Amino acid sequence: MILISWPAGRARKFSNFVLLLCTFLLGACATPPDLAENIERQPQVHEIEIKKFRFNPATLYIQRGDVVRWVNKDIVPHRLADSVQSKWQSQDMVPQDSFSQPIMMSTLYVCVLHPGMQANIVVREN
Amino acid sequence: MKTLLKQIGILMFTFGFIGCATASGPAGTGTGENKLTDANIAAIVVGANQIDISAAKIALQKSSNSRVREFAQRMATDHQSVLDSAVQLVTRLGVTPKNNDLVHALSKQSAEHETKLKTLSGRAFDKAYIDHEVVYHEAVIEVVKNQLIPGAQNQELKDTLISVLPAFEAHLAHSKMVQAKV
Repeated sequence: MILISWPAGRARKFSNFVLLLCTFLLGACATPPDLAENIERQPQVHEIEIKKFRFNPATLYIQRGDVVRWVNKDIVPHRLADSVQSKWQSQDMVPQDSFSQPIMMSTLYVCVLHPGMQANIVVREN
Repeated sequence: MKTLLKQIGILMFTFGFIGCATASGPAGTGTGENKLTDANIAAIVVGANQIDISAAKIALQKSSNSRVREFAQRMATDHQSVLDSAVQLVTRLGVTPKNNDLVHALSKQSAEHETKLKTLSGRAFDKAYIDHEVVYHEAVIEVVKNQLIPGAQNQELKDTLISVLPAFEAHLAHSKMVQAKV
């Protein structure tokens, strides 16, 4: 008969590892799938800078439901609007004003006050 | 239109000439002899914005064309913002705007333009107003780009001029869009 003899410290480390593994496996089995999806991700806030009559970044990639926050760093007012579905529009944003909007689908948006100012938000599905 | 372009052309020549010929005044910190002073630049910025605000107010009183009115409202609002920002900056910097021949030339040309505008109505007014806005913005962009930005000695004044340029370029594009439909 072969007896495996480990030093006490090493044996304790191994038993801790087994305990951790069991906890992980039990946890994975016990969490309902819908709850797992809900706790997966909170909406994030993305910032777009308006400067020199441009939106930076010009194309923003987000996930559905994320919030986009624009900050006007120009010295004139701007007013933003979704130009695809016309679902949202900001008030006139004077210099240093900000405007936040949850975005549910990809869109092109414009500055209503300054023709030619436009940019994109792309909603990634994953 | 040809007369207008000729007038602006003369004004542009004047800009260039004065930009090369004006000697530094007490407020200038330029090293060369042929530089606009920051005080002159401040006066040009203030004057150029006031002129466009004034023309926009006439358009808002006289025009019934929605595109022209929308454009005029934009000019009144944006140029007032630029003017406020410029005045705030030069006040903080302790620069007192100092008129020079260029400001006088701008004022004279503006007065003549406004006198003409006041005699017109309907489409003739809209066309005269918007045609002038196109060439005026072209002229101002040239001056800001080639005279004022290179000439500004104070870095904050230079940065403000750089930040103003995209606004004038957007206005030029907007004026051309309106011009095509008047």
